[in-house]
Amino acid sequence: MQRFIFLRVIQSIAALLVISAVVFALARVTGDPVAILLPEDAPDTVVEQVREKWGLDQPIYIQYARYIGNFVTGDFGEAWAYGGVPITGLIASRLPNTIMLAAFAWVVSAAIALPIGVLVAVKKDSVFDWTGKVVALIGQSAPSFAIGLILMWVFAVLLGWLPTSGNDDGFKSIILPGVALGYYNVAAVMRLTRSSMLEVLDTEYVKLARIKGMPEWKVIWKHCFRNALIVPFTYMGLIGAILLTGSVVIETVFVWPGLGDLAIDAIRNRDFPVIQSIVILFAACYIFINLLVDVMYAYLNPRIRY
Amino acid sequence: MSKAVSLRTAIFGVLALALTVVVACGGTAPAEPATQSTSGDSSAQQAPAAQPQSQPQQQQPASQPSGQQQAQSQAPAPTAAAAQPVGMSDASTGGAAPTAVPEPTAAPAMTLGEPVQADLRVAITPPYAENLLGWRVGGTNQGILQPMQEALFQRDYQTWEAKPMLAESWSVSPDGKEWTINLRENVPFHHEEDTFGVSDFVFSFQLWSHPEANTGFGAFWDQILGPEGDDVRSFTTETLGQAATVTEVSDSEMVWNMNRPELWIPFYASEATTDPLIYSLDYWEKNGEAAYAESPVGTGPWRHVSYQQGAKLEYERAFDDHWRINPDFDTLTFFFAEEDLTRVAMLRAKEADIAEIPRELQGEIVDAGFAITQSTLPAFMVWVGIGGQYLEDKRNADDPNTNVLVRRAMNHAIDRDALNEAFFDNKMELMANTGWHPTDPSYDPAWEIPAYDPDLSRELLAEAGYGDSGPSVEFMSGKLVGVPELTEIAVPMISWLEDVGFSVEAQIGEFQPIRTRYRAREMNSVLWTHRTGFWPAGRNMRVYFVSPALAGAVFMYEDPITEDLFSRWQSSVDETERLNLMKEAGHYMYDQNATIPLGFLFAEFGINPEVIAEYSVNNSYFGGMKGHEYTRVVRQ
Repeated sequence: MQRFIFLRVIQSIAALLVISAVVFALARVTGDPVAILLPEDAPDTVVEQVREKWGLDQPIYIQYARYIGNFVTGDFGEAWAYGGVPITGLIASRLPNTIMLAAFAWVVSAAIALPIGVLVAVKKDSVFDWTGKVVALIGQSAPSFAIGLILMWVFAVLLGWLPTSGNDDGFKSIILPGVALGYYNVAAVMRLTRSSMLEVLDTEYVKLARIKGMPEWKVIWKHCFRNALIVPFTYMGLIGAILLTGSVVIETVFVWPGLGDLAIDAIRNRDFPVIQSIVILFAACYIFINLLVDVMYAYLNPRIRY
Repeated sequence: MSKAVSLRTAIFGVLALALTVVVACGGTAPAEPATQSTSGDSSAQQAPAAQPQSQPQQQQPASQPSGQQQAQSQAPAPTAAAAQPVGMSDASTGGAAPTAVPEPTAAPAMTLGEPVQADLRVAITPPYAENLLGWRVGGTNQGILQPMQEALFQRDYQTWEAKPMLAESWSVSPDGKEWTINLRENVPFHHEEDTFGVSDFVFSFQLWSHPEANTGFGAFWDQILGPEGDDVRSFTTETLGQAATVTEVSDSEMVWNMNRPELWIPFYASEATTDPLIYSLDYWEKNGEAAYAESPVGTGPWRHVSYQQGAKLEYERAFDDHWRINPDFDTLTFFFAEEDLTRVAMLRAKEADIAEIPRELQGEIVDAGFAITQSTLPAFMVWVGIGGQYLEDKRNADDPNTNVLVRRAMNHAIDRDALNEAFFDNKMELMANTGWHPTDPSYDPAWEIPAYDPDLSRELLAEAGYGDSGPSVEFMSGKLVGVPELTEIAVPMISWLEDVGFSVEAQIGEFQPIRTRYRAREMNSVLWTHRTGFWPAGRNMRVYFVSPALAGAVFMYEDPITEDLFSRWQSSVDETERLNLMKEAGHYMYDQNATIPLGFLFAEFGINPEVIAEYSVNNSYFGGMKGHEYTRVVRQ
């Protein structure tokens, strides 16, 4: 077991290193950041000074080695385009908003997908089944920004119930971005719930409960639903990471001041250290959650070994 | 039966859920959008206009009589010669005579009723990099600071004329190297422990000129400082607020020495450019740079309240009796919304009173009862550069771009009217000579916009020796903020060039490769789309049309004749001579077909006429960020 965990941790670190190298290289493909950092008529002497200040005059492998060296000590560097402020502070100020949005989106996914999943399983091949599938599939097939803009138009502009954007109005502010972000995962969770429910509904103990005259709602919600939750909940643990990273577009559309919004700004400004830090942070979330799930599986099922 | 019951139950459930959401949110549907015209409301109710003095052009809501709407939504006519900006001419920028104190600002018209709203909310695209340290981020970022920070001079939004701001009066020595400036006295900073004085100016100058600063006119400050200005460029704690190039006569009078003659100080040191905001030395010494990042101060009519990076920046009215103007609104909030449709939604949901609306969505805003208002002077200049016109060291004699006949052929191959109609809704003011607007004193009204004449283009190419196979050129176009159409207009232009015989290799995408090549002066046989802000011809010459020897930056046109003219213009202190030199340079470049001029674009914003009685859009990159102290509220 210990060997398994050790090897999985090594794999995770290797994956992070590869990701960091890819991000580091790709960010530089987008062009010279000095072109954006400095005005058009900046003298060459100033251009060179700025290159030197940010280490851009060094070979790329030295830049990478320096970056990784600082990163592992918790120093993410300074944000070039934000006047040299520490990136750690920038991320710390935005991360809570992103986590809050992802958490709300997770709840939205569960709140929509689980009841629909149960309903369509119980009413299999009925109009509910087909309607539920359509509702869920719309979420998965339509881009989240399009869903977001439609929601914004309907609930903020036409009905005036909710704010269009920002995070000033407390709970009201998070509803639209949270629904737009969480709706994407509804289809997958709903289908997992449906198939899991159908499987449980077909078991002997459920048939026995019905024969004994137990009310149908009690059979479904007390006996079937709880047992059917295992599979969708495993998946929902994983979509936490998807929701964190999926916030990039939604945060931009809804002016939600989180990491996704910062990432877009950083890309626009070619602020490489900020881009790298955010992408590596997101990647680390993914890898950590996968690692956690793998370790839990190994713990729960001793037959799983590396 | 049971299925029907279940269906009814489901529908009831959905309705109950929707009702619960409504009740929980306490929301109500918004009122119908206004159908009254802005001018109709405001003409009777608004306070006497202070600055600017005339109404901006407004496209009124759809409910107006159609005739009126048509008249007002026409493309902006070129400004008449009579409106020539004194500020662009050497006569005023030289400022030999002390400038009068500005007219007292009229107080908001409290007698005309209570404001319908205390808060002014403006939705704009985020600046490149949001930061409250203006000298570190520079460029458009400083626009969001200008409600609270002032400069020595200001420019009239309509006439471009130089006006006093924190400089009350000024004069320049006969050799153009020594500026004596009298500063406005008793102007407090927002922390109210200091008033503006010479040491604050010197300290601010040190910030703009510091090597780690990222200010828009760094090259200019570098030039006028010269080798003597090292105490400004690399200040230490001990020398803050002191510089050998600035002599403090008294706390409110200083003599500013230049390394070379410079008559345009009232332009470069004005709030119209990006750099020269005035910071408090006292605040810095007491609190350090970090305090400026958290809670900056200035002398402006708005005081910083809070800042949430990526979302919003809040100001409030700074003083009850500001020396320049007391804003009509109590607070000013900028919302930074990247997505166009979000800003449209914010305006339509009445969460914003002024919003930056892309041209293609403006019709929808007007149809919904809102108005579009635009700057009275352009904010952008758009053209196509013809690369390869370098001095001998980089010139390639085989480059077709160096042939004036080929350049003329290019100019007549482009259908500017079609571009204007298709991409700019006929709102672009067509340009005859790149860099010269009709309001510039050195503009010649005889200049004509090149006519679309493909046959003439073919004849010119034949005359240039390209009878059978046309010249081969590369056409590059990249995205630039402010004019998203830049890459789109490249497509028909390439097609028109090919139609008259050019062989064109297209490269459309990012602007960065273009910049890399023009900085290296490697644009031989290349055409590229470009845009800049609205600047005087002399500034455009310096940045675009001179060689590295004269501190050019883009090297779009280099010619011994224009080099000589610009050099003489820069060092001359005779206003008439300078004007004639700039006219001569303009004529020469016009005759040479140095570029493919396209047009001037205006800054445009959507406004809610139920709240905004008067709003004059600033004619610069800063668009909706500046001048909100002059925005007037509708009063009941």
